[in-house]
Amino acid sequence: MRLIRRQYNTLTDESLMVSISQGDKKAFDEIYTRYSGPLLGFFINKLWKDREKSEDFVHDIFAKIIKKPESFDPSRKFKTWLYSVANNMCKNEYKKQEVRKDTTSGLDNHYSLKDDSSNVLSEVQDSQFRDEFEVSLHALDIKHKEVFELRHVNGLSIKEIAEVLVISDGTVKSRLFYATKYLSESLKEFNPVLNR
Amino acid sequence: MERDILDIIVDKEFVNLTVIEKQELEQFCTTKAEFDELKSAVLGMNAIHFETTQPKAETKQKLDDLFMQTYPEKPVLWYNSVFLALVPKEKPFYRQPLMQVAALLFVLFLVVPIINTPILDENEQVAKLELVDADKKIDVKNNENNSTVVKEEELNDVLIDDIETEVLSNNIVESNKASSQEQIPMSFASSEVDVILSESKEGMSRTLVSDASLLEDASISHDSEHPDGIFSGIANNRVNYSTDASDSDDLLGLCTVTF
Repeated sequence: MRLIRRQYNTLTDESLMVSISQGDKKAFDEIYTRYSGPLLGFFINKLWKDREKSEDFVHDIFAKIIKKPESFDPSRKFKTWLYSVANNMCKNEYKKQEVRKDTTSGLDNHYSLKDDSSNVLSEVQDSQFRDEFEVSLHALDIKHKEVFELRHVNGLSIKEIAEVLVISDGTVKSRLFYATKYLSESLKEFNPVLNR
Repeated sequence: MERDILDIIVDKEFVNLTVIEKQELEQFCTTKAEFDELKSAVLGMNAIHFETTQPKAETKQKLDDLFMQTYPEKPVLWYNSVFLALVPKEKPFYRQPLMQVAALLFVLFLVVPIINTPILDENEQVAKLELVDADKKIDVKNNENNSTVVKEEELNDVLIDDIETEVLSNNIVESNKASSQEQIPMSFASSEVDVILSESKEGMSRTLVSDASLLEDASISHDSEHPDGIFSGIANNRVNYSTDASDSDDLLGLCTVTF
């Protein structure tokens, strides 16, 4: 009998996982709300824009959380662990497919790019920016692209990206700066968005 | 998200960078111009807001069903809730409400009898012999069967040993029997003698109440030979009572020393 309702949105991912292992449905809902969208985007980018497969992968990864919450190592950060699992799922899928699909674009239609400074750019400019950004990102190497996406789309830190991709911090920084500089150069015409 | 070198680039100017931060950025920018260019690029990337799509509702529904299968909800019974409220497992036993209520009741159980105990009057004299006014104290019971009843009440403040009291009572009964058998005339012997032995609250006086007819004939005297001045029986158609303690200097002296 709890007199004070728990504020799930203020709890950490790790404490939510503890609650999930005890059968707390609301804790699971909170975790799902936090990570289902970013994970779907992650899978879509990794799995050749295959939306259905990505949905299945999202289902599978959350099913794993439900069935085997103990598989989460509490000593690790949940976010890092989750993306590591997602990354491994993608790697396994690559092995299954053997041949990676040739993606036509780094960003698929499910991603929508939106600039916060809409007062600066007109809708036309926004549309142009979106197209140009997608082309530029597509032109990036897959290694640089995944680091860039993990940083700017999924919000992982350099350390977390290094842990997820099992590479060094320096490598992550190097790839990240390269991708940032490349995109900055490519989208230079969209001043003052990128060159404030 | 943890703060890393990208955040430092955004937050700081080139001149404000520490030696460690400069070393970290050495690979990517060494001059202020290169730093500003990198900063501009990072700010531009941060300005882009990526809207991610959400999974279908069907996916969530499937997961909800799976969750319910994995963790089936147990029906909550009201008495289970009450029990859990009274005996929460997470609290130590001395902090459980049921234990606290039990402890309170136990304390009340111990305290209430003490509160209800009458307080003794300290001014009450411990041993006082009072001259029995036979005319006032004697109460004759006119029962139809003329049965004899001995009624004895003891006062709390009389510090006479129980044994002594019992001996005295036995003496009285024996004396009564002797009197009725040997000394009381035949006219009295036929009727049962109603004897009420009472002890007044003021002192250690005893009253022998006999049948009205007996009392009328019996005269009261204070020639008891008992040292404490207790009734010593009926002799020669006379009821012997104690001498008033106040009249006996020896007895008062004894009481003073004793108490």
